[in-house]
Amino acid sequence: MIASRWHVQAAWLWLALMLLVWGYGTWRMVSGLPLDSDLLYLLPSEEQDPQLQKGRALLINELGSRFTVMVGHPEEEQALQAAKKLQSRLQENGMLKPTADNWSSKAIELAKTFFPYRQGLLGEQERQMLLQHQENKLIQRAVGQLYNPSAILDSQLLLKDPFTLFSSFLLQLPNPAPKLMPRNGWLHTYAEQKHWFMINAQLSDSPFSIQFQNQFMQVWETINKEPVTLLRLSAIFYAQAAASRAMNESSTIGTLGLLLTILLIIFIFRAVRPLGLTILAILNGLMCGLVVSLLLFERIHTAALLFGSTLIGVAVDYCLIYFCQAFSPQSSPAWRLKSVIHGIFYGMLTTFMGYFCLAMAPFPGLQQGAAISVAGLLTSWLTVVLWFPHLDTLSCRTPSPILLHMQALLMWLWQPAHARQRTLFACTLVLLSLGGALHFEINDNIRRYQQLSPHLQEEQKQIQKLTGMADINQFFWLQNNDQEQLLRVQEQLGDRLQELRTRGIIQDWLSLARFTPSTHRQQENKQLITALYGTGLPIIEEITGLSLSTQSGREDFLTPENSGILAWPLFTDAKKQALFPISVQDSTQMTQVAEGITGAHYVDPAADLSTLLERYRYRALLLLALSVLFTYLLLVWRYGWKNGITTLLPALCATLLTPFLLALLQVPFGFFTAIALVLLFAIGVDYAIFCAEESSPDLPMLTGIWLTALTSLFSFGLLAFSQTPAVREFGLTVMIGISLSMLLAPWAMRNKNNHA
Amino acid sequence: MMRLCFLILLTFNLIFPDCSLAAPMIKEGESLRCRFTMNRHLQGFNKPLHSEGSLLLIPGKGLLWKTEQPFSSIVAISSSGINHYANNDKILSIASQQIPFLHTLRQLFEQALTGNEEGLSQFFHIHQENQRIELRKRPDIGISWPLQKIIVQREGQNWVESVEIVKENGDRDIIHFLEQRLTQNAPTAEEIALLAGADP
Repeated sequence: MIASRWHVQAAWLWLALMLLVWGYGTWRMVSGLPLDSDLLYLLPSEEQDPQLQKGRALLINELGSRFTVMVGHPEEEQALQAAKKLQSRLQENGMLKPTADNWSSKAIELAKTFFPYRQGLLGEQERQMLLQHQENKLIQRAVGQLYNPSAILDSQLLLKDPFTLFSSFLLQLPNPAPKLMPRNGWLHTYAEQKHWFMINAQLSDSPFSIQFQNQFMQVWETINKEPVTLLRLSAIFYAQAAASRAMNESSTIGTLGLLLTILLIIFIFRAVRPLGLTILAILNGLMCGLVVSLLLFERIHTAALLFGSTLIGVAVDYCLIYFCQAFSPQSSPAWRLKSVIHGIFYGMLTTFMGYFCLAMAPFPGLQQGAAISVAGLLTSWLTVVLWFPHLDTLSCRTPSPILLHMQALLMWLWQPAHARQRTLFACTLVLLSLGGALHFEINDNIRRYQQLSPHLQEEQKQIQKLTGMADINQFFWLQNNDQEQLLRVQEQLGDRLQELRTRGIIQDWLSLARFTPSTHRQQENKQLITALYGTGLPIIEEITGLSLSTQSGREDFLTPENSGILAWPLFTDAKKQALFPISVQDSTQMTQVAEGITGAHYVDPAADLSTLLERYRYRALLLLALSVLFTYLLLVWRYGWKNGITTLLPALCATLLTPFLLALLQVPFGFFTAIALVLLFAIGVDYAIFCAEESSPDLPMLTGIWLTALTSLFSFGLLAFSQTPAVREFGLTVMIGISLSMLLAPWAMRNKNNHA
Repeated sequence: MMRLCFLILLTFNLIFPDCSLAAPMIKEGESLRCRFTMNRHLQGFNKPLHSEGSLLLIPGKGLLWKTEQPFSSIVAISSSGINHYANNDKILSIASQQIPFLHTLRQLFEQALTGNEEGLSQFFHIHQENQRIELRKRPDIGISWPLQKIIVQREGQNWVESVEIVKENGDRDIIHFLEQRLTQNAPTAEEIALLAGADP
């Protein structure tokens, strides 16, 4: 076979192609891979409204890019200078966008700009009083203010705003950080014997971009932060901490898995070449998967890369199955390939078809993962088929006693004399699964997978305590290109939110219309205020004995443009098109607020991500179902109707029972379990096919199954010991499933014996 | 707003005769009751606004400023904010969250209560001459503050006779304190409710 001319030519052609792939891949890696860890990138492209999706994504990105640091020191000047230095260093290095430079002057400027338009501005309380004809309250309040030692009213204000409606309007404006006040142009507070100044800015890039994370952390580490205390609140620190933990963990688990695999292969074959060639096949697969995804996609999500690379790991099975033929007495490279070619061909084909279906789903993450794994798997397979017979110099091996024991152990259950034990084993599995079914739970809540750094969480709590900052994690996205209409929709929502505020469901809300009401509302307010003046001023004059000749403001109305509010960080970019509820206690009640208001959509990013995971889980299960179907059709074509199904059953049983066995361990069923099942089925089918290709219990084949199962357990099963919940669930699923698949695989062989 | 802050400050002066630097004289469980007259001189108006009433100060709880003449109303100031009552109705309610400055000043006064001189001197230059204490706003405090100065006139060792608050625009409040007495009588339920910001 290897002497055939076409095979030699194909091997050379493959070498040329791989050199190209490696050349291109290396060049791209040196230039910097376009990696991304932003979960929004995984959003399905089948959303009905791309504009809405784009707007929401934009705003979520903006919220995610917030950068807040409190700089504290007992000496005010030290704290201030440190805050200035830190902010300027980060800005100079392009890590932060430019920010409003002087909060004190901006706040005063804003009040000065607003004041002439006061006849159109009313606080929520005063507006409600006037709408409910409770002018008396406002008149009493105005008189009371004149004799009130704590009143804001002075001689100037008395003539311009005798009912203190404007100052009341300002006081009722939402304040996201109520404990801070402008001081020396910065937001400041004094607490815990320290002066604290706040740096509040936007990151210049996505905090989920691995490249930006690295750049940022490089700059951050070089800044001398002594002697001040820093408290941090930004997604970039959380993302970086998570990435750092994941890298440490993966390097520990990965190194351990790799070491065990290397030791196992060397121990079994007592030679280095099988290990070297296996690594070559895997590396070829990884590089080709990467290159294909680089050619197909603009950016590559790290999750997709991880998922795809993991699946390429299935290819290690082909290599090991090939080399295990060395335990056959009549072994030559050509013979080895001939012995396994059918098994690994059908194994590859079933996996290939399954993942090809995955690529059809409109989920970018699955498409990328599928592209990487399909390309990688095919490459590894071709490397085995085209190169191994030429590079393999391994002589025949005598099986060690331990291999013979392993073979006996694997076949023990399937010996004809052990029918009762098989029944007992099956009953035990069914009973355990039934027990698991009682605890079976589906849970895609994103918070379950979040493992935030406790240290950063503590800093966040401290910042919230110092500043009074409340959580703003949800928002209403408002699709309206007309500014007046946009403001009116915000007011409409605000009117509904007032009730929720009264009931304690939210603390407050933030929107552009709270600062600059719509012209329509300002006209209404003006009428209400004019009526109040007509009724109230004579009464005040009578009680106080003062003669009040009031001065009115401008006749026109305040707009976002003439107010200068758009220059504030609160309403930059996409934020003006949203309304932010503050401290939402019950998100479910919020969804009803937008009902019936055209163009208003409630967005809860955390809930959306949970929904996204749920949808991905459904797709993964659909993919699994398609994989099962295509695999079955292929097995039927190869082995016939009856034996096709019995070849399918070992992997299918392992795949179906694993979630219930996991439930016994209190592990809920979620996306990461579902995606592990896809991998599990692909591996399990391979084992069954390898068995089905044999006519009797064959040592090389059984050794191959043992070996591939153990390497899979070392690669994926060890992930069960990860501290990251998603990775742990993935690892546990594979660990249980692979063990079951291995135990059940000889079932297929038994049926082959019955095959006509 | 500034008046409010200085009112609190000066009320403390009623019982801290050596400005803020002495240990508190109100013992635990005691409260201060007195009567007051206030003349508010507003620039551009010929006659001052005159009012009379009583006040109650409970350390740690807050201050009730009860105006009786010419218009009956009560201002309750506590850590939760300011509530203004008139005609058996709450006519104004401002939570302390809405007034960050109040929060800062409260921290300042807490420091003053513990004898921390730095607390007041961060905001004022303090000048004492016999029975007269003048607190003049520091120009470098980094806060926009329409107040110019506060003049406290003491009576004997333990009590404040009057307080004059002068604003930058020339408005002045002159408050005289009369019939001052420390009492161990617990405040009434109504007074406690008002300080808690309860609706009448």
